[in-house]
Amino acid sequence: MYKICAPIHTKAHPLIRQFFLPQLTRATRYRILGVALLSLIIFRYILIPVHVQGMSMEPTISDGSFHFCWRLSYLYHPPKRFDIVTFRFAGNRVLLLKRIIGLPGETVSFQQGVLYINGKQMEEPQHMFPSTWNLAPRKVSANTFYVVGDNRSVDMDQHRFGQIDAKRIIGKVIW
Amino acid sequence: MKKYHILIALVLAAAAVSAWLYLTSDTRRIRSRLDTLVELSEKNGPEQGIEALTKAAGIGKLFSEQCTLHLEEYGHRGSYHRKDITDSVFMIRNRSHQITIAMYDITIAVENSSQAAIALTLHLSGVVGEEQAVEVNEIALTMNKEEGDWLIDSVTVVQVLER
Repeated sequence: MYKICAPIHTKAHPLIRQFFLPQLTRATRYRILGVALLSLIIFRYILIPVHVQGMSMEPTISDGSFHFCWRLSYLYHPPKRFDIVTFRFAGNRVLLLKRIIGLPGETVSFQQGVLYINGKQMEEPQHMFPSTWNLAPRKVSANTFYVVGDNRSVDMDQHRFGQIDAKRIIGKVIW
Repeated sequence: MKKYHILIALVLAAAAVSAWLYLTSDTRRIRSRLDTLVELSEKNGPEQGIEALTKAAGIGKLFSEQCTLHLEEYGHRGSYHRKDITDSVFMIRNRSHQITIAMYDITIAVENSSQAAIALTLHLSGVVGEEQAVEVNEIALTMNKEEGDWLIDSVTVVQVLER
């Protein structure tokens, strides 16, 4: 035996309905415009979304993942060692994401994958794949930072790294 | 009403003058040369030898008789004759099954009436042998105006990361 039931209608609270489906009054239009403008400013100039393509930062940052770059990070202080930064590689659209290992004036080198700064062995904070990189000591020029990816298990010749002009740094990857 | 008509006529005249100035400007001509370079560089499958040669010669004509290349990463540095560039382009075309080029973030600074500095991002992808190759670089060009034509005088791949 079938029992016929009346369809159940759930009515949203008027305030919720008003929030999600407001009447298109002049005030609502201004509000939408304001939100759109604010989003544009925030996500274009302050908190830049980054889509990672490549494995140079594995295992810290995976290929295909999304992250945000905070542009105001270096407004009052320069980048610090081991910060993950984004910088302009070509034009305004092609960014690279790397870790800062050397600061201006320091000497950077690798011995069997181990990082040395000014001849002193450094312990890096991130988890990394085994590496056998050997790089002769080189001095980081003034107003530049030495950056490298975390994935140093690949051949050194196939990995993009080196010193970059401080002006090219856009911000710090915060998430 | 008359004032309104005069205003519209002025705006239209200003727009027409701006459009004419833009279309005949050096910036526009340089941009058009770059578009030609992109168009000629494209390859979407096998091509006849004569077609490859014609396109390579067309690309060569966009360069000065003597052009300076700073492409250290690709093994080219120094002064090259237009014919050398044509031959290199022809060789690359023969080796590749497919070539796609895109240029963006183009800034053109016409320094005087016969010289211009151009900065752009070059996205080059192609299939060489069995391998898919993708290269993205920031490029700095200088172009010279020779007999009314803007020709590429130097090409530099901007070294962003210095080991």
